[in-house]
Amino acid sequence: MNPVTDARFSLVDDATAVRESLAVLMPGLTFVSTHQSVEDFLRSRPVADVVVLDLHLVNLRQPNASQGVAAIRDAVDAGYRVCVYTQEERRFVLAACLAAGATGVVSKSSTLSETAAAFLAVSRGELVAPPTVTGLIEVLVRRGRLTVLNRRQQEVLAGRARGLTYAELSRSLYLSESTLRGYWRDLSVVVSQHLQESSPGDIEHALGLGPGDLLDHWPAPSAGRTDADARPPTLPERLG
Amino acid sequence: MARTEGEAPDGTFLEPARSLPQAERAAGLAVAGLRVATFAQMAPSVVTAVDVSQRPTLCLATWLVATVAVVSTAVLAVARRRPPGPRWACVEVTVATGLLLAGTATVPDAYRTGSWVGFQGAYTLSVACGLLGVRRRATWVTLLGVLVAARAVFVLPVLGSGTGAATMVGELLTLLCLPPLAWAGTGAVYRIASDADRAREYAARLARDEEARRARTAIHNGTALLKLLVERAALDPADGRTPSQVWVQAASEVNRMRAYLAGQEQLGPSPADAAPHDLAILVESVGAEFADLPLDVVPDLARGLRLGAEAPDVVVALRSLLINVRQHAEASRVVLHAEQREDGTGWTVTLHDDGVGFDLATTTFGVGVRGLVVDALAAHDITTTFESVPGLGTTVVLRGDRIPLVLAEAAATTVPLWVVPGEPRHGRPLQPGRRRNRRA
Repeated sequence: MNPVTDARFSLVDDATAVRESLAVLMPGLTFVSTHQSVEDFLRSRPVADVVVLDLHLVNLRQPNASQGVAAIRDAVDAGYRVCVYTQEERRFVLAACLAAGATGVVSKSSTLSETAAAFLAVSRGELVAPPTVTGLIEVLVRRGRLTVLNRRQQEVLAGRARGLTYAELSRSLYLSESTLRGYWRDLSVVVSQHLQESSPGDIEHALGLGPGDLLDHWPAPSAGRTDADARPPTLPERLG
Repeated sequence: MARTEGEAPDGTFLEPARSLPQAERAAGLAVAGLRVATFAQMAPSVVTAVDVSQRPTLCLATWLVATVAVVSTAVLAVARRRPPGPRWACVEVTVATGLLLAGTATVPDAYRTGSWVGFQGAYTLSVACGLLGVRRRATWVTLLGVLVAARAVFVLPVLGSGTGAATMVGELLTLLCLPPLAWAGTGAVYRIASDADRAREYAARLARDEEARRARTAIHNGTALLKLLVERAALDPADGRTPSQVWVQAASEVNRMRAYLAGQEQLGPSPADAAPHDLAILVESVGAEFADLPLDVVPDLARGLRLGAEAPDVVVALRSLLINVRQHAEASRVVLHAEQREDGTGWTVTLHDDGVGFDLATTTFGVGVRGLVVDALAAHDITTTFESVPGLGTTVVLRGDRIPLVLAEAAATTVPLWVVPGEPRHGRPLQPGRRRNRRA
């Protein structure tokens, strides 16, 4: 069985057009539910592997809706794997999303095929981020903040930061794409954990930023979750 | 104000003077002067020579012949602006030989040496020293040999006097020493002048090549942009879709072309070419010019790394590469990444696109990539590496091995604690002038 085809997605976006059309535009993906807010999503607690989450959810109809890193935290704390789907392009904001626990960050300007591939990658637990954010991670590695990566993981990270695809990396590193994806998945765990445990000050220092530059974007370090907290609800749990 | 070489008082530049013609003209004047000076020394003795001669009429005839020969040679040398050639030299030697042989009948033995009454000796030396137009060694040696032999015959009666042998040897050695010195010295001057002309031509050719390169640099990117705009206008005459950034950049390139045509071109990012430029800021500024591309700029690892005089050419190269991407790649993602390498020995800029790619083995470089990227950067010891696979995309790596001299003071927080081995790149370094490339 192809696990990709079994991945279930739930969409949280305040734009009605997006909610109504995304599943139609991506017939290869299974969207089990759509929601206009995280609060609505959490009330429903659908059985989904990935929640596709818009970053900006406040509008006139829901002025008090949770959004941004807070919404990500809420979904992650509820045990969901989060893929941010946004028009936001500021890389520190996108990096903050990863620090809040999101597994992936996908731009709404991406093509449908790229978007679908990114959603599926997130469903497999792979870190998905634009090169600008991957470049920040590369800086953290170069500065010695992330030291548990092995050489292969570092090579994959360097290639991804330069925009190289797995196919291109496969040609240059003489490794199969599946092997490279494995390295990337392992790296994703380390990076996500590091970002979630780092304070804004740590990141500012590592990136050479001024004190307080990230305060407006970066979430507070997570207190940590148990494994039970971190898994999405199973279908039996959902049913009752 | 001091003027540079070749600059006229009105500021215009004249055709550069050539050295060899000037050296030949100087040699011609020297020959004419030598002959006229010899004649001037001879002239006061003409009356005495006729008086003491056993054959006054023949003696007078020899003086007239010598006079005609001297005047003819001097006029010819001045008119030709160089020493008379081999044919005239043969005529001169023939005349001189005839005068020497005639002198055996017209000049008393006592006047054969040490006297202008027997002018043939000094006249012969003058002719021998004036054989500067004969540049073939064998011809020149032959002519000199004829003169020496005739001179020996002329002074042969001196052998009977007390100091005759020494005088005769001295006379002949004079003829054997001075003309070779004049001939060899003139040859050396000719060679120096020829070398100077060749050096000047070489410098002129380099200047022309550099001017052509500057022209290509100033015009190529603008041409590519105009071509892009024309193509888009042809597809859509109303053209409301062309990104404003393209129009802005086209206007910028047009200004650069106009500045070049006005002799004020500035190809770099700032007027201070030699001033150091932060590589990160440099790639960010170039990337900002291509906002219409799906371009991600990743400059973090290059912060604080300063480029020097190579910065303008790096800017032009990146601009040219990105225009290529815009024109040909059909990419959905472009990444411009810059870093100081982890070993601190230099920097690397990587431009990757996920477009259509091309076959390196069959694609030929155009003016843009060859001239503005590979050759221009090679002048700064920056290597350019291309890697492309049809269908997968293209990666261009600019690698500067020069250790940056200046690091930003703010780099105290960004000085890398290098722990990551360099990412492997397997592209082929392209040598300057290699005739393979992708496009434009």
